[in-house]
Amino acid sequence: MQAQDWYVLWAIVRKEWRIFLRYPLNALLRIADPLIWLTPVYFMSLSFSVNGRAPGFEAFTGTHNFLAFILLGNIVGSYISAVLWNMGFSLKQEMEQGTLESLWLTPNSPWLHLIGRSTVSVLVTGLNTLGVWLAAYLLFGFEITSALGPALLVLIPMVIALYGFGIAYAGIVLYLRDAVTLSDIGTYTLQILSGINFPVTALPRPLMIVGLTLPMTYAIDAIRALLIGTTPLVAIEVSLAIVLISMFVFLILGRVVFERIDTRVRKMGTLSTH
Amino acid sequence: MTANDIRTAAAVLRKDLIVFRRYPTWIVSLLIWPALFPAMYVFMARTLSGPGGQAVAAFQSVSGTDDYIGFLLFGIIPWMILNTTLWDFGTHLRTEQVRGTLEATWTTPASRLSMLIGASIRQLVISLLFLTITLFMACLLYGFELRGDPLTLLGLLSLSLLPIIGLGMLFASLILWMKETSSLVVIVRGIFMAFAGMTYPIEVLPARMQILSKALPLTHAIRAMRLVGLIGVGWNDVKYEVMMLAILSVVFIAMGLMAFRLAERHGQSTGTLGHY
Repeated sequence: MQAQDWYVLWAIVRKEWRIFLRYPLNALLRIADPLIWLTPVYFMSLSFSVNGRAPGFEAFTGTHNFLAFILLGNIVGSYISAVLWNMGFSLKQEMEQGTLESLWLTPNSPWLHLIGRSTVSVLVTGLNTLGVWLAAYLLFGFEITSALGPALLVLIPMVIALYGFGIAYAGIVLYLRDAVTLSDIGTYTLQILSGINFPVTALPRPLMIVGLTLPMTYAIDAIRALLIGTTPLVAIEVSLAIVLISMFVFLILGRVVFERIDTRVRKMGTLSTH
Repeated sequence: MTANDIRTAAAVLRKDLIVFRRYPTWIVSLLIWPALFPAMYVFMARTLSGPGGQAVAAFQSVSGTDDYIGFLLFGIIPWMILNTTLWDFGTHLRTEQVRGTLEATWTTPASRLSMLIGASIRQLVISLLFLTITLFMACLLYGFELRGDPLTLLGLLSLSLLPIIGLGMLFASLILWMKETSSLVVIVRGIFMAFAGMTYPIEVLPARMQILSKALPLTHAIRAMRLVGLIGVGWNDVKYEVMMLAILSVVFIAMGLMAFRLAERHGQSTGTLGHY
């Protein structure tokens, strides 16, 4: 990357951040929404509990800490959602505003736009996660006492892998031009299959097999095993290897898919239609 | 209602159904969500019940039934209908505003209330279609079995739809005034999701939260449907819930109509009907 590219990247990050700050209610709701979804889950766990412990859940997972189990799953879940919604629609939004063609006409690489948007998305989702943790601490007394370092070693490559997928997905949206249903259903399905709210072993066998092909499943599983001592599906080293390999695969795949679709869309002349 | 009003409502209903048919992804959603949405909660409940069903007895002691899947489905289905109502009917006026057709239709001599009634009938049709698909999917995928009297359940469901339609009217008017859709949907549906006992018996809520819970029509609808559908009781045993639903139906529909009139007057006096 040249000095000029860094300047462009910084401009994109600043622009995206400014847009985020212009909608304070939306920013607040990004923290409130996960808590709203957590509330019925939390009370459901109480209805299966005896003297404050959920014996069935404990037998399934090896931990009694239901809330931490759910919250840790939802961290990866929030990145899945961010990738499909923020990245998927980043270019779609420019299309609707009529600015995509102008951006593509500048001498800057489309890659810079995708990297800039990914950076802001990671930052916002990270802040969002911290906000949810703080709120969960105040409302439900949620605490993590183990060292976070090893868990971050799994989370960071997983997030990079997800954004690699997000770049490919941005290309798909560029081609389809409308993908609300796809993002909505895709997010929810991936969250179910990767077990953000329950161990994948609770899924029926055919779904469990699909879940076990997803790298997110192993990332969530390893993070939980490291932080709250759940029984892991496979050794943590194996999970880490799966996540690292998928990081490289998704980054390469994301680039190839996006470039092919971008070339095709330019040939079709549908960049500004929506 | 005069014959003209009925014709107006019928025309809006016909127009809305034609629009609905024109968007295949809406129809895809209508088919996929009834199967997909309950999955998260069903698998979570399966985890909480334990590999050998160790915790089912604890659940039964607070809910009165060991059928936790049926219990969940009777909570999730009304919430999904509410969610669809907020997104579709609740944004009806706003959608017309954004399309630029609200001013045009409101300048005709046709009754505006009849137009809203037409849209609400469309919502009832979609809700009933949604319910049929959901019940079919629930039986097919989750082994759901209906134990109670289907006619009593149908009666309860019809009564439950009235406050939901009233809330939709209130919501549609609020959005017309506030010009903000998704944040309001997230807040309102979130309150119902968190406090109406969608996934749990409200007895597990702290006492103060139960007060809020009992003010929501969905709480009584869900409770009555669970009692009839899972325990097999009749009308006499759900008298309190039916009475509360009837009262809350009147309250919500009255509030919806009042809010509609206020939003209408506000839009006309400030000249903001075409703004978005």
